[in-house]
Amino acid sequence: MTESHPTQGIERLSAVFMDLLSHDILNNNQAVLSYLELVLANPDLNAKARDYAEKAISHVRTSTVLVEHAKNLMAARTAGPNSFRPIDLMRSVMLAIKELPRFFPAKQIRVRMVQGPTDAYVLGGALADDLVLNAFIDMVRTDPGDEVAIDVRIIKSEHGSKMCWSLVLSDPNTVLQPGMKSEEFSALLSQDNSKMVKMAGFLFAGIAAHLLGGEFDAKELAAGTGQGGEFALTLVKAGKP
Amino acid sequence: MTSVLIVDDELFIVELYRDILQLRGYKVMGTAFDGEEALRKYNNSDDKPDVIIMDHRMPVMNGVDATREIIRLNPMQKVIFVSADVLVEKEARDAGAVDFLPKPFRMDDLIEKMEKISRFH
Repeated sequence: MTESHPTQGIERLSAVFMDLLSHDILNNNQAVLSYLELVLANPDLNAKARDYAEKAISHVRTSTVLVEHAKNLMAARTAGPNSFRPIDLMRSVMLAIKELPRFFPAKQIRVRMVQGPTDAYVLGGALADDLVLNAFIDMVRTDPGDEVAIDVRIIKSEHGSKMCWSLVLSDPNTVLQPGMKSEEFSALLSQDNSKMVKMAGFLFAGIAAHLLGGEFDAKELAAGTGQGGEFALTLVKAGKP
Repeated sequence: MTSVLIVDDELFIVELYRDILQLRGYKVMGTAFDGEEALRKYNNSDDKPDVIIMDHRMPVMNGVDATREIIRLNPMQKVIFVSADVLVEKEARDAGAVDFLPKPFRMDDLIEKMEKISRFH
């Protein structure tokens, strides 16, 4: 008789729990979103109430995308590295830019492509697409202003011995609070639970990028100032499919 | 007036669709909480709905199986599949669903798809 390892039971339980949890969260988000749409359909709604409802919709969308990312992360873990098909990083960036206003209807977002080669393919499939969108969402979320300006660069890099492409986003107005920097997430992942970290999006980025053989780094533009942020998503280079 | 059958195991989702669709002028001719109930109601009804809004993950019989059975009975029946599980889209379309919406979606998107269907009905 083959005995299963105890961690297999835990993995299975986690997968079932994740599955049920995500299903229920998305169903509840459906209800919240639709009732808010009903509220917004009222032509007599005052501007302040309209603003509150739009902000609530933005948070529903963010919670939905976090659930989707977690589901894709679990699916990628189960499917293994053979499922990490090449994606065009530039195309993924363009899709993310197009999606952003849906998450932040009250913000003016300007994205400037500083450096973007057309032949940047990376391994990662849908999970890599999620990572790119997640990086943009986190960049906007950490900028407290109503007008957000993000510079984007796609540059060649190395991680370990692997040739990579790095997507680098920077915003001079980003505020990285304590608990949001990459080294704090690294500490959490190496079993040090003593420090509280913030934003599940950053944790997802770290775990997912690691799973794809790359890394995610969030740091201040000028170390120690707390002002400005730079996110670097590094993924393994792939050939054009 | 376009008629609708709503199939979802969550009462609050069924009520949500029913309330909004009725407000938008649709006739909700029935609701079902699992695929088998949907199939039974469909079979027993002389007046078939123009559109069925079908969830996937339900007890007793899931949405894909229910869609397949309903399309077997009536290949012209229009089913819009809605699910929190995007991975089920291909299965749903293969079973005969004419469209797919991942939850959560904007009700305007559902209405737009229903309008499109009813224009060609």
